[in-house]
Amino acid sequence: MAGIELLDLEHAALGWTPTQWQRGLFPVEYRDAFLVQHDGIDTLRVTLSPWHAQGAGPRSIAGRSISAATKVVTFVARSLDRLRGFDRFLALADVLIRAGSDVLCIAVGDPIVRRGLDVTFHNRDYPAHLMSLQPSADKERLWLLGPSSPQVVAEVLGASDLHVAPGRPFPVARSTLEAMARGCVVLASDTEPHHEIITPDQTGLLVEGPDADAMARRALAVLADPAAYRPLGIAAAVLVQERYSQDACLPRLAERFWELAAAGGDRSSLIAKENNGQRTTDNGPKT
Amino acid sequence: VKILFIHDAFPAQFGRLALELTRRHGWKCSFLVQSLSSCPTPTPEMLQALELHQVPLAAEHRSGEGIPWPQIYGHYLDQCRSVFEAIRARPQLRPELVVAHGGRGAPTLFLRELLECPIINYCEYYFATSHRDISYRIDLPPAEPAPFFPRCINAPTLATLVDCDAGYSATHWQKQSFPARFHSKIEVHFDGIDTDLYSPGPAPRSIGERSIPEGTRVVTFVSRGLESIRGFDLFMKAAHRIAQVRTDVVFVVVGGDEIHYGWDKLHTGAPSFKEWVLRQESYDLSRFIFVGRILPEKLTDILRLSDLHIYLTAPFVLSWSVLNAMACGCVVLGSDVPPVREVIRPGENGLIEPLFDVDRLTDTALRVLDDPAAFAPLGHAAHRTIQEYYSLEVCIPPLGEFFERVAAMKR
Repeated sequence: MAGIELLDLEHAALGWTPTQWQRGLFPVEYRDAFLVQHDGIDTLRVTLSPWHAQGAGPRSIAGRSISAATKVVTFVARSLDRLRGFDRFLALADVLIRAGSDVLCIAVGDPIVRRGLDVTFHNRDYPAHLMSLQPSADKERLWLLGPSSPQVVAEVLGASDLHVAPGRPFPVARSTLEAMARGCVVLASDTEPHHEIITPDQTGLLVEGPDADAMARRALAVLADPAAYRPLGIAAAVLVQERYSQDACLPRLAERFWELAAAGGDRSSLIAKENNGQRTTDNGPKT
Repeated sequence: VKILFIHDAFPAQFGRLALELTRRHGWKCSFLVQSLSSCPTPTPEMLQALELHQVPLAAEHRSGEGIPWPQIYGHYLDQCRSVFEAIRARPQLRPELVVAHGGRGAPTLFLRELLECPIINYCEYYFATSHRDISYRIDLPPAEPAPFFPRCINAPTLATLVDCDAGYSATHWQKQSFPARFHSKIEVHFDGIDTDLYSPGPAPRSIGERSIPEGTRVVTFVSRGLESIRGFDLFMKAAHRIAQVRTDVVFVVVGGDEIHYGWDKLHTGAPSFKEWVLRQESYDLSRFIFVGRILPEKLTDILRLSDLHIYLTAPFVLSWSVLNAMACGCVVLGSDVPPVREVIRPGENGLIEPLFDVDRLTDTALRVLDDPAAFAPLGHAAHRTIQEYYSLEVCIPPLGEFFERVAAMKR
């Protein structure tokens, strides 16, 4: 933990973090002085898609229409890097494309790695690197859309039969919550941050991260019978609406900020409320 | 137990402690240090019994004449790297316990990559943004950087504190300077005063070339640097008045010209706070003996001659010198601030007056000088206080026990 961040915590009236897992990353001495509240995603814009609501209907992505028989597998990240598990997605896509001629895999995100801490691939084209080692089984059925507009992301997620979030432990991606809000069946790595959001087999599917075979088995099962898994996506959309939408999050956040300001920065009553109330999980780092 | 001590300077807080642990318990004590200290200096015994490894001096990050506060965290990380490199280059240095000091954070942050053993942090002090330490003397503006500087220097301190397995402070007041959330991690163990060296007894009635006639009253003032945080200017004001009332008093001032803490240079515009203070008043300098920085044996001789020892610190880390003076049986007149109150109970083992109240400081000093014998019991009691609570004899065993306890902790 960097000293500068500790200094911030020391001088702040209150720490604010979106998830319990993120709170658990801070030193134990500071964890009690946190408000845990996600800022929410815009569910007026990111809505349950007709494809997921009805299990049928027209689909198109970036001007190209997708047949009803096509099984669409999606991955979304700001950049296609290791932290968000793009390597795992690519390996999975390869298995799925080989297994079924009706599978289309789509990745949205910058191919150039922007994360400075990924010292190996920073500023490099990570997908190109991976595909130079292991060429794709069928480039026609692996779409790399690059950085895309919110509109295209919404189309991708709205058409998805399986959304894959195979990242390493890191704060839950906004795109994962958006996928859930769109009604996607999400297959995520079984990390603490994902566990906090997704209840396995109720609001999504969790797979032990490094076990590529297990992930492929789960993915094939979903693609074999999308209708059977559709309720997971619907439940995910309901969950996001209730707990991770701006409608749910922003009023609570505003209320907490107002309470703190009204108390002249005295966080004690607010913290007491936090600790008695909503906190259902307490995921400190398991060291 | 194999202990590795890490400190910029040697012997500082750890040299004597390590020597005692080696002698009494047969422990093996190694040091990583940047430089040998001149106050106090290492003894030949220490240099013989303890294994010293030198870390290259970290690059200075001071920006010219300015306050180095923006560079402090970078400087700290450089030190962490130097210490890491030094230990990596010495595979024989694989201690069972690390005890590390850092006034601005102990540079232990990267050691977890090399060492499995627990790390103890010497929790010297956590700076405040007002009302104590370098932010206290608002009577000597500009204190403009004061609110920023403490925040910056505390960043490395916090990083170290979070990382360490246990910490200890020399006094309760120092422990209390840290945020309350860390108090459960910090024990209080004083370093220990060498009461063989600092003890009451006869001393030659001369200082340097100058002899002190029998009957002449001696007032002493000791500080590593003669600066405002230790109240040198206030001492001089009181001394000036005392000198006007009594012609039989000589003032012996121990300490260097340099400034270790605070903004004295900004206030005075001069490198020496002492020189600036001396220009503020037409002091009769024939009544003062400035001896500069001296060896501990010389300090003992001076303290043994003292009829009154004046200690006017702002609320800040308690100086060893006041405890040395008490160990020598001096009657101490201290400032009424919490760290001084932790050791001096006024009227029992010393005297206390408000820091800025030169009238009262002067009156109380004159009462003592009128009849030193009447106040001698305070000095005897001060000597007993040190023997009972602050001597090496008393402090080393619990410190050793604390080190053993932490060394046995499973990480």
